[in-house]
Amino acid sequence: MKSLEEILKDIPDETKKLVEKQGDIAVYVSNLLKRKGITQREFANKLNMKESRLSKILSGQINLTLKTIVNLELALGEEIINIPFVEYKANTVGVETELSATYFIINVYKQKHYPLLPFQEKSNIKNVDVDKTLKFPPQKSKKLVAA
Amino acid sequence: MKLSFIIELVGKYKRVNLYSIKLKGSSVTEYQKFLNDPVISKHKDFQKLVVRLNNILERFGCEENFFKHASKPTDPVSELSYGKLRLYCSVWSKSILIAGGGGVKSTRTYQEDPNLNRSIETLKYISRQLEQRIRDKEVLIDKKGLFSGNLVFEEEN
Repeated sequence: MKSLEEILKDIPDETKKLVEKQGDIAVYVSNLLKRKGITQREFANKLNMKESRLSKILSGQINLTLKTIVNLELALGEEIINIPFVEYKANTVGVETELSATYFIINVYKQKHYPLLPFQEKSNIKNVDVDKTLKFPPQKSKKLVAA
Repeated sequence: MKLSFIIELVGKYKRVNLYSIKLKGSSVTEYQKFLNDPVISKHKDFQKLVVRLNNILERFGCEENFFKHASKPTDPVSELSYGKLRLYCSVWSKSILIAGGGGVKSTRTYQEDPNLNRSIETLKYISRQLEQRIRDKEVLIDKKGLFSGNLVFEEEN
């Protein structure tokens, strides 16, 4: 007899993360609707969506498309997903490079060019000229794409 | 319907205390049967339902949007579903859940499927028996969200 915990061990991380995110969105949207005093029927009408489909979304059973998420956000007047903003600039030699205002991109660079450096989880560095700070090797001029 | 059964604590999780039912003559709970059923565990949505259940136990608590009335709204049985897969439950509070059996819903109504019908009717019966014990103060719910008292139900009762 397998326990819940034993079954969970064999489930891929992708499935776990997907179901967790679906649940997070479902609970978040349901709570927002309650707070705003909007019924499921009213919200479905606003979205021009069948109530049965909305019910599936609110029970966390739908693999939502970005379009549906945007429509939910517009109908709610609130953000559901918040992605950190990354600023793109041209560097001094005119090659498009992410001169990032976020620690995330800096860490991507470090991983690419200095793989032996420990991966830095967090940094207070803001608006840094990455080229100067990290002294990239010559092949740095290749166009880099954020991971 | 008359049944002899025990309500058993399956696990104390971060957000929910999970109980299930052990019917007389059975060595495992209905919930364990569900998790280990060869047909159910091979269903394409089984893993997702298991993750959802785990999220409820550890992360969300028994949020009402995850549970739907399995039969009439007045019946004390809810279903936790993912696609066509159903796990029937009795939700006592945000932190107390009794999991029963379930299966794959392949008919229009649950009554048309003998296995699903049996799972729902069993859980209805058990929930009503427990309700009565709580009314009679033979079973109490403590501050930690645990049942205390006599959780053994004999057919004569």
